[in-house]
Amino acid sequence: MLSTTELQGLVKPDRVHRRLYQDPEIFELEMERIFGRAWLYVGHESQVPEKGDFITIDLARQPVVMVRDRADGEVHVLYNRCGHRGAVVCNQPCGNVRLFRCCYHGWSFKTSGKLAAVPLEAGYGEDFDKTDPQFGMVPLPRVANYGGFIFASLSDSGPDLKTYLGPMLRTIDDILNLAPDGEVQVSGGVHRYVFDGNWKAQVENINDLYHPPFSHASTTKEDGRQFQRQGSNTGAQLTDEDGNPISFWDETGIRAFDNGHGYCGKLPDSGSGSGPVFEAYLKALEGRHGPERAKEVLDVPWHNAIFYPNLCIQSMAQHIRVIRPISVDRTEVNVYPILLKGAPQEYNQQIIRYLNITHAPASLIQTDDLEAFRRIQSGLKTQGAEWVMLARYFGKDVPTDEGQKGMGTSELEMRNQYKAWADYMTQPQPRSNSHAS
Amino acid sequence: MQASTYTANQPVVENLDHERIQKFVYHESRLLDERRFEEWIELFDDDATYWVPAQIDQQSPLNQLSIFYDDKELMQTRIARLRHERIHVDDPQTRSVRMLSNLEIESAEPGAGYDLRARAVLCAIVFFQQKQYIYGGRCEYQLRDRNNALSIYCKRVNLINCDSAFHPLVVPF
Repeated sequence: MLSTTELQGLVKPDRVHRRLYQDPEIFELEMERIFGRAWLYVGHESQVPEKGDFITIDLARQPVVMVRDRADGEVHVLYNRCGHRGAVVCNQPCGNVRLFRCCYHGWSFKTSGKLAAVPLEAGYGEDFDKTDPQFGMVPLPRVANYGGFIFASLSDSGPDLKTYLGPMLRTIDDILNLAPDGEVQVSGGVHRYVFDGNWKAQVENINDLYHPPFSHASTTKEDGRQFQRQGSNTGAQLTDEDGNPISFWDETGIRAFDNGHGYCGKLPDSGSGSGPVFEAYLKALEGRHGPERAKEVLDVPWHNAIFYPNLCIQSMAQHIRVIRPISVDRTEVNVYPILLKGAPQEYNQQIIRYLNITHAPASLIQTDDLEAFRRIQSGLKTQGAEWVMLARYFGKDVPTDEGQKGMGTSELEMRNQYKAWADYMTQPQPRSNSHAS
Repeated sequence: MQASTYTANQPVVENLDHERIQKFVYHESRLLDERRFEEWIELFDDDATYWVPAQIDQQSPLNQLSIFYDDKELMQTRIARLRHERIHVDDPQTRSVRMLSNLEIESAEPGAGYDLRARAVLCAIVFFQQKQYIYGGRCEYQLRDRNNALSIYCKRVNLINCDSAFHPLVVPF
């Protein structure tokens, strides 16, 4: 097994060792020490609106079910495993139940996870304690809800969710403020894709503002503008007419916080809009916030937010992105549109339409990045060089009250992720609630 | 576009020119195999849609995500990207061969906005980034037959694994 010193030696302030992407033993340790300890995003409570509603997902490679309790309406996150012989109990992606029932010997469970009934129970004798939690569907040690976003931790210790997320909570507030009714709805389906690459390649990519003009070259026309995006906005300008990246990528700026979190600044076209659908939405939003505040709310000051290690929220192609590591060289990603309660239906339909173009498995944008992740996985097999460079604008990052800020195309965000990675990976015990700077 | 209105008991109309329509959909399919995308698009009317739902029996392309939901303009953007020299995901070029079978044809009800419906079983074998993938599903065409020419008003492809996780999809089905 890799020692703490060996693990620490794989991460330097401006580079990481290629082994992080290639070694199955490191992957297993990541599942134990990062995914086994961090707060992980599970789902949004609007995915289980009614009592008895459930969804099933994989969290850190383990099947779990998120369910709304029939009795008290609480949202639980349970291990999807029968308390008897261990079979997955709930085999549907979503649905509504009165009780969960195991297919094998018919044990049934309440939506709280508690064991409800055991067929021919007498066969277990008098010592059998049906209230022992291990015979139920065991709840995850910690579950917390912020603005309807449900997080869970596989560990029973560590900082609470709000402390863990810190300044990132603002980004959830910003998204909620975009909804004229103050709530969002995750009910527009999901894009599911896989790539033959390591999960960290996707996490690194989220706030990588260095890549768009190159990776997404195939979406730009000769004038450097991307195809038309949402509503009446024109396409984003990725490069100048000679194909050189333009300066806004740096001006956008990025922020890095404790625990590997961070976000990048807004893109130039954000916060604007026109046409009858946008006007109707604006009116609804003004109804909630008043005209002045509505304008501020629309001008979301960030574009992509990373909640390390498994969640991204994007404000422009408005979505929740969940990263699900499968193995050291295989990752699934799920993309859910964030729909705004109280917005005109057509406005939410634009969000869906746009997300098909940008993030479907057949999308015009994300597929080029997926190919880059696949090539990274392949390229890092080579033995010619040991290190992956993350040195862009290294040493130029500026400390802030909350963390650090850097130029838009800085690789600060990745350096910050690997700082958190090393913290997690080199601590044999769960981390304490400290505020490292 | 509405969800399919086919029912198992609906009789297949006998007096339609089966062979002519078969030739048309075979041709459409071969244009994709041969990456003759510009000719492929020409088969679609200006108000056409191309839809690959992301859910079984998906009712709406507007309120739920889809794998593809293209109008003609987006189809053109998509094709322009497929022709771009720096489309990394399609380098080297994706190859595909598809088989259409079990063709059934019926005439549309009056006022439907199109004239014929055709459905066929699709088996597509795709060679993408050194790996081979098999996709199976059912194609549903809404066709117009005007001035002695067939054209596509809507093509919907119902993949049997539409709600699973996909490797990147480059060439339309």
